[in-house]
Amino acid sequence: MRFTDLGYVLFLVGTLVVARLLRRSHRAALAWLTLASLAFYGTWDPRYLLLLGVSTLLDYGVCTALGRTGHPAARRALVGASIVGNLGLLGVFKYGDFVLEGVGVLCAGLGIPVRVPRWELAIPIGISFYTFQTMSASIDVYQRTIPPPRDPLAFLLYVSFFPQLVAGPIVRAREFLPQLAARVSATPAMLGEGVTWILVGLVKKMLLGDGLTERLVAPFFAAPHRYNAMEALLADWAAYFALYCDFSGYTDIALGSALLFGYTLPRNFDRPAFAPSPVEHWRRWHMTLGTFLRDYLYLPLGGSRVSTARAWGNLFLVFLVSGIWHGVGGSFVVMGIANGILVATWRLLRPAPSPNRAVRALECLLAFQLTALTVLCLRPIALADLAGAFVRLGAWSEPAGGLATPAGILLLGGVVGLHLSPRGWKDALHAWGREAPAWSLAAVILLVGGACALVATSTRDFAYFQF
Amino acid sequence: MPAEPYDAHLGALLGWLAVGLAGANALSGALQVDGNQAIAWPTDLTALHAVDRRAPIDVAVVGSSRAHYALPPSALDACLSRALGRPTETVAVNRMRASGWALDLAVRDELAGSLRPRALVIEVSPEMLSDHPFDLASNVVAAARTRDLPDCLAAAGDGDVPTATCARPLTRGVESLAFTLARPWADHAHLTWMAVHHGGGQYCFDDAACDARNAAYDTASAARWDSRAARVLPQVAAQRFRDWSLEGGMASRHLEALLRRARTDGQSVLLVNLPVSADYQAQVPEAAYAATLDWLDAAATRHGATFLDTNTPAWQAARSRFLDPDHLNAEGASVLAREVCAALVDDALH
Repeated sequence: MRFTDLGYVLFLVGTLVVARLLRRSHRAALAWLTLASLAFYGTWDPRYLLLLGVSTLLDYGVCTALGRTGHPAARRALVGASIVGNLGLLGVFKYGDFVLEGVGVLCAGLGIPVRVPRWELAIPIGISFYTFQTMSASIDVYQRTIPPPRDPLAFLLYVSFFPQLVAGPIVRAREFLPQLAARVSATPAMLGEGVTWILVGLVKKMLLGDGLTERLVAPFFAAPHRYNAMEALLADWAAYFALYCDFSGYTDIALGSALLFGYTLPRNFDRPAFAPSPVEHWRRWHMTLGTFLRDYLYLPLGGSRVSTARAWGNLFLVFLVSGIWHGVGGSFVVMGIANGILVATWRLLRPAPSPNRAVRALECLLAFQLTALTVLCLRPIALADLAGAFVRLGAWSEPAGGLATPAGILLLGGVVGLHLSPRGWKDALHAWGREAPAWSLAAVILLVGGACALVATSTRDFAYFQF
Repeated sequence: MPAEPYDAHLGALLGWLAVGLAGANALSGALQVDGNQAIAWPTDLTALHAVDRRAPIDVAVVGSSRAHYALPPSALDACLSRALGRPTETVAVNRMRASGWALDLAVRDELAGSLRPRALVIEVSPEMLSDHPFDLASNVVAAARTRDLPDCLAAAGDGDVPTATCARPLTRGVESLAFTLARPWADHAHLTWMAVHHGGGQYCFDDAACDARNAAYDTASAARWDSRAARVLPQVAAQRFRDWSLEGGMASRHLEALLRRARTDGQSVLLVNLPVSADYQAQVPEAAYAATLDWLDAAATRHGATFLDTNTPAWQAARSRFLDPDHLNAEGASVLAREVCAALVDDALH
């Protein structure tokens, strides 16, 4: 069940109404939300629930055991079990066949006559997100940042809460478990703001993101050889903003859905295309993954408080892991390496933003352009096809292939304009949602619903589902 | 238990939404746009409802996109008028990726009352007869009404449509109004021309202007064969025939109901198996195809209808008559219209 399906709207309303009816009993409301979340996840494939259960049980067990022992070696073993278990799940289901294929190629290269079998396991949807969440709980308890969770029901809901289960944001136990421990106190303003978040997310995903993909990105990647360098650049920008609208749109719907129930999820985007440097860009794009890798990888490795060479190495490693987290295949590795090099080089050449506004604007543009090129690696295409698309960036002398239609340009211009619009506009929109009377909220829902219905048959899957 | 402010706000919001949905349903019904699909073909419905008719409709074509291309109303009228010695009135109500179920709904809801035709030309292909039609949701969502809820829930239970599709009767007003206001067909001057002057469909054959329009469209669509051959043909078996069966499922039951109703209403029926190219035919499983022809033969006998099989080897090999592997171009539509017209004159409109 996708957030853009009518089924999700019905599911959301039904779940909300029942949750409200059960609001007098905190336990019953939690149990209902957990049940609904598991049912939501089960709509993809009920077998995936087993893995979710394994990961949840493992980390609830580890957290509980950590709370009962103060012995350093035992605590290290326990947190190690969580890390090995979760990364093991991720490794087997997400990277297993990729590794086996590599082993097969290696054996063939060495002339070893071994036929390496493939597991051919389907990648369970959302596994990259929930394994990181459960693992973060164990690490936080190990580091004594949070107390061990006592309520298994709340822990299961923390892992499975449907708005964030499939494609984030990656919610930390310290942020969400305290919310689950208290009785929900939702307000009318939360309802209005939640609806506003959801509508903004739907517009971003269905009207803007998919529109860019339909008009500019898909035609270019279907036949890049037809287009010149200017059009390749246009397609690169469109691909960047299409992915941004897709993922940030998903996150907006997740935030809005959670808010309807009175829960607050962390934000995942903060106008990344406006960032003055590549490292700042990645701080503002999928922020919850960035903070996860910062807290659990970069800082434990010493962060920037080590020698310059090691600091660069740490940065490089973080970006490589981030690339591989997104998926298997050469393009993700290339993305990680490219960003690692980009961030380290930028830091070397431009340690601080220029005080001159014009120069700073140019820095922003350059940082955006370079990161936008690396974001192309997140497109679900083979590395060779990606290389074919990159080659077109050099085709300056060739005639245009007709990619730049007025509608496509207008849409891209509109998306860029909205992205760069003052923060106050967005704040005003959410303030309106908080204060809006029910009839005007309903009118806007019907208006946006009608507009989304126009494009519903061509709506694509959320890009981050694949990760 | 007194309602909390949140619950009062939620109740008011849901209440206003219900009012809005009901209002949009009523308005779209009053404007006769509640059967619009989210594609260019509402031109067919526009033409159907816009023309001020003094005489009953002679023929209505119902089918999928293949019928939209192969059987434009003006092509049939040109031939029928000559053969019957009087002006005739043909209309088309085709549905994107139509199943037998969608055809039944189209005839039941769009061609009723004063719009009931004397004869029906019904396109039936193996894809439309399957118990598990490919992409059933896209043609059912455009047509399902409240009374179709039991069938929709049964199809959802079989996994043929998402359960939420069954909420279409609630949302159809908002969707239909959006489609109507957005006028997706307005980008297609050719289709607007057909709607305004020629009763809908993809081509017309009344005058030199039609010929020029047809030629311009076919020329502009020159790349369509290659693109659809690359995109559609490799997926025909996997998408359209993966779960193909004909054991009295939703599609065939609805077609039966349609034929039974037509007989009761005194309408003549011509069942037509439209031509597809040899490339497309090669992708159709032989058993499914044979079972379809058997079903059509038997259904025609049961309900006093005529069955015309135009998907002959000669048609399949006539590459120049196809726009793409399973849709005819203007030349093909012109030739096919004469065949269908002859069958109508001989059997259905005699």
